[in-house]
Amino acid sequence: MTKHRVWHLRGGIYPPENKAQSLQQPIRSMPLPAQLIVPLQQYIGSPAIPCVSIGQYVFKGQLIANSPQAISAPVHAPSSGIITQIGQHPVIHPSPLEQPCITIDLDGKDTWIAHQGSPDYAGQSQDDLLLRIRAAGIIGLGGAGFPTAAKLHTSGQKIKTLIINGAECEPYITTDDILMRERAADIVTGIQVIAHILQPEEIFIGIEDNKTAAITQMEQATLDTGIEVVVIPTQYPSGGERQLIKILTGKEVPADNLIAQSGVIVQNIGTAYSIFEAIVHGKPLISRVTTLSGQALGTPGNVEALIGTPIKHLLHHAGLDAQQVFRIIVGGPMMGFSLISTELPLSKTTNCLIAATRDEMPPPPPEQDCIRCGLCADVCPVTLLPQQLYFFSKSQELDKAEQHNIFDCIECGACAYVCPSHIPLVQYYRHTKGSIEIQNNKENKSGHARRRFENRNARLQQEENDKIAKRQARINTVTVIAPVTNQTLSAENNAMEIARLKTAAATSAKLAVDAKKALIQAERKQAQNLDSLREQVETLQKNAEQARQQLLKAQETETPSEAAAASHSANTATLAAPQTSADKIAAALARNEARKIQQERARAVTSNSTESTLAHPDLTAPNTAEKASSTTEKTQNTRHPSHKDS
Amino acid sequence: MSLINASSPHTLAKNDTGHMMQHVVLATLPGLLTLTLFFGWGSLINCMIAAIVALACECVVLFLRKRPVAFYLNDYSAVVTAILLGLSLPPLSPWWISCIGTAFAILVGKHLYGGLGNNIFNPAMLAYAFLLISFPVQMTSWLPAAGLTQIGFIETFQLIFNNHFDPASIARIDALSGATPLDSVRSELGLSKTLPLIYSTSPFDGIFAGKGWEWVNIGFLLGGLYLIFKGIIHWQIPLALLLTLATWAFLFMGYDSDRYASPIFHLLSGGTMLGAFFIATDPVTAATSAVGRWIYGAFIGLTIYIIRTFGGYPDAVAFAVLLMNLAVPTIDYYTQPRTYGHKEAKFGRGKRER
Repeated sequence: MTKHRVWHLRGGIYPPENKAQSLQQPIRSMPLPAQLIVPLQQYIGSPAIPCVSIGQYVFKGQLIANSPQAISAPVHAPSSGIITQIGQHPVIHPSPLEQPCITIDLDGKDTWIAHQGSPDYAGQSQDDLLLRIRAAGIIGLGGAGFPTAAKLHTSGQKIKTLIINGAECEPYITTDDILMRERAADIVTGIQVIAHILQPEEIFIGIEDNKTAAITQMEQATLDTGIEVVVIPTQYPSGGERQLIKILTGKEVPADNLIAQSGVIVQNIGTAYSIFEAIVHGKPLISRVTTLSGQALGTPGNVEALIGTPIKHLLHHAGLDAQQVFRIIVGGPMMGFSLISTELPLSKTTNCLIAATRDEMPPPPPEQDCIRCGLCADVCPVTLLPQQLYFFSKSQELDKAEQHNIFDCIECGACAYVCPSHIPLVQYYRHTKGSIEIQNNKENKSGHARRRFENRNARLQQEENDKIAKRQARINTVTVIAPVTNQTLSAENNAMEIARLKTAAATSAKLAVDAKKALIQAERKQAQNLDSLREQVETLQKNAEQARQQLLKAQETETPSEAAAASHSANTATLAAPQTSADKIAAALARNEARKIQQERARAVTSNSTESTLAHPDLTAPNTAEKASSTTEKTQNTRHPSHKDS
Repeated sequence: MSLINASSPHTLAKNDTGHMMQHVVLATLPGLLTLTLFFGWGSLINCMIAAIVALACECVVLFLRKRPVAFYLNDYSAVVTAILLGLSLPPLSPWWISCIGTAFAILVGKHLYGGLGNNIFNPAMLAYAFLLISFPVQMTSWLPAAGLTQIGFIETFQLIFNNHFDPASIARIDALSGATPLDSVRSELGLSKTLPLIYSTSPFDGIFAGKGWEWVNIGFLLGGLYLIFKGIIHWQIPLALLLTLATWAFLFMGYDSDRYASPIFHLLSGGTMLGAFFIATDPVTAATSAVGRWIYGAFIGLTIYIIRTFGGYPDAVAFAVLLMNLAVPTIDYYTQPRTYGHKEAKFGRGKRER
């Protein structure tokens, strides 16, 4: 077999591996704890909803919570016992949060519920396999914990490459390493299940070259399977999903794409093993292999622990020296987070617990000034300029930080690791990312409010326009139809004639009333062309009266000819309509003008409100009287029109 | 059991600004040694004075700025600044030149901007330019490369500390000192002499360039290579600087070899190597992206050549570096590398409209 090419990963660091401590012994199982606290949200996505009640007896492997959501996974009882509590409990989380959990008091019998698997995965349809993976509650065990069934459900996207991530580049962690050493064949079966679902063209298992025993085991197990074990250089962070893809395929996943969109899917070794357990043995994900390491532990190693086991229990059985322990880390030392309590349950994604002494992981030295040495940029695996991002973060130049691709930062911590000034760079970036998100949310909100306001204004304007257009249309109908009626005199049209006359009469009456109103307003506002307006109103009123008379006459007469005659004379009234509409517009203009004046006045009043209170003699202190009097003058000047008005 | 809450990463490499600066100090030793061998004890004494003054100034400013004095002194940056300035000063420059220069470097060049990491200009070069403009006579009186024995240690000491007050010392210094080969070439060319004629006179009887100077430059070159090997400085800036300088020198020499000196002469004269490996590479004031470093180094090389050849100053490193210091923020902004998963580098584009 020709050796697969390995592409170079830019940057990266070589921290002390510290893996030997936890590889001294095979995977151990832990004594059953008295109680399990099973977190219901231990992955990305929505929390599972309990489907058991307090006091209920559950078997090992029994479904205790499920969720209808696509991106979620059900939860099973890791051992048999009685449900004693369903509610919030502190969980393993970067910000010590409480999340819904189900507490089970174990009966110690560890009685399995009936379960059945089948080694004949190839005989099952892909959808069935996906359903079974989902039903087994399997999530990505590498860290982020994305529900595996959702990840494998590619909805038609062709997957060319399936990558199994056995890089395990973080120091201390050895779960994948020891799984590959001890259960290589099972892992390969799990991989074949995944391959059966995805039907990829190529399957690679990427393993760092520091895991020689695991490589040997996996190479033996994959003989004649078409699965290729690719040995990659030991370099942190080669195990990052996008980094491993680059190393194994030479391709980069476009920054704004999901990984699956580029035809690649990465699965973790532990996930492959739990898929094997679920499909072949029918066992849901109720336990996992976790590395317990650190100098504060007497017997570090890998344990197969039930989900929900209090980590206190695990650390105790690994010989925790409570005097020596200085910090406890979940995950690896590069990307893990510290815990301030051990009263937390093990979750599906907890791949490592490090109980470190003070000497092992001392508190960070005080931060010095950045000298822009550029070591951080040299080791950055995604080719950022961490030194620039740091300055932008410090000065809160969020747009520049965003422009320098801060959201491409994978927070691997390589920059902070090499920084000679001991600057906690990752922390700065997290904070800046948070600030940018907050700002974007704010902007979205204010943008939304602005749009709402603008839309409202546009709507009001539209309504106003519609009204005017409607009126105009009505007037036009009358004027257009009127001449036509003149020519089509017939008995059949009589009724229509009368109807039209009715409309004409009503319109002119309405116009007259409107014009009168406008006139009154204009008088109140002392508009300039009052006389002409008055005349117009009078003509309008006359027209309206005329139209009414015509209508009455038409209704009285029954012969078409008379009706026609009436209609003809009515026409003279309606013919005045164009003129009337002009008047109408003039009146509307006058009204608008009046409204404007009013608004301006209102504005002047609000802006002067402080001054006016000052101006109020009762409220003005004697020593400000002079100022007040001058203000009054000013206010009076600005309020001049309103005075005139009243 | 009390646990601490800390942000990742939880382990750090054994690396320290102080250690990096110590390496820089160490790397100046070959250059300092050759300077001393060829030009006497003066440079060594200047460096000592500068270092003491720098530390004193640093202490005072840190105290005034209410900073932990010992913590900041430990970064050795003041010592590096002092030594770089001390190396640039003429060996017999009076003691107060070193004092004023160093104080200027630390107080104005560094702390007025906010201390280490915040200064725009290379403090040592800022002080050098300041001194050159303020005290041109003292700053251009170099010694001939007459070896360690021309003036004894005690006498050097006396000359440095007395020369402003004692007429005999002044006369002695005047008799001893003269222009550097670089300076003489410029002034003699100004008298329309040809290069071969100029080279036949005494300061030019070195193997490649001016006597003594070539070895001083080779000393700094070695120190610089050590820094690159140790990963303290990046190779792009020195390489770009030296390449550009050599290329321009080569082009002009090809045009008229009687009037334009050879690339070797330029590379091994004056402060070329000190500038390329120790001054232009000062991380705080240099460009920080890989492409940016090339641009920054290349333009310093070009500026050095222009000022040396057509300008009126004896050497050009200080001015070239200061000039390019100004351009660094712009260079950095427009030379972002291509990030993983992006089709191309942003080169200053893609800023969000807000």
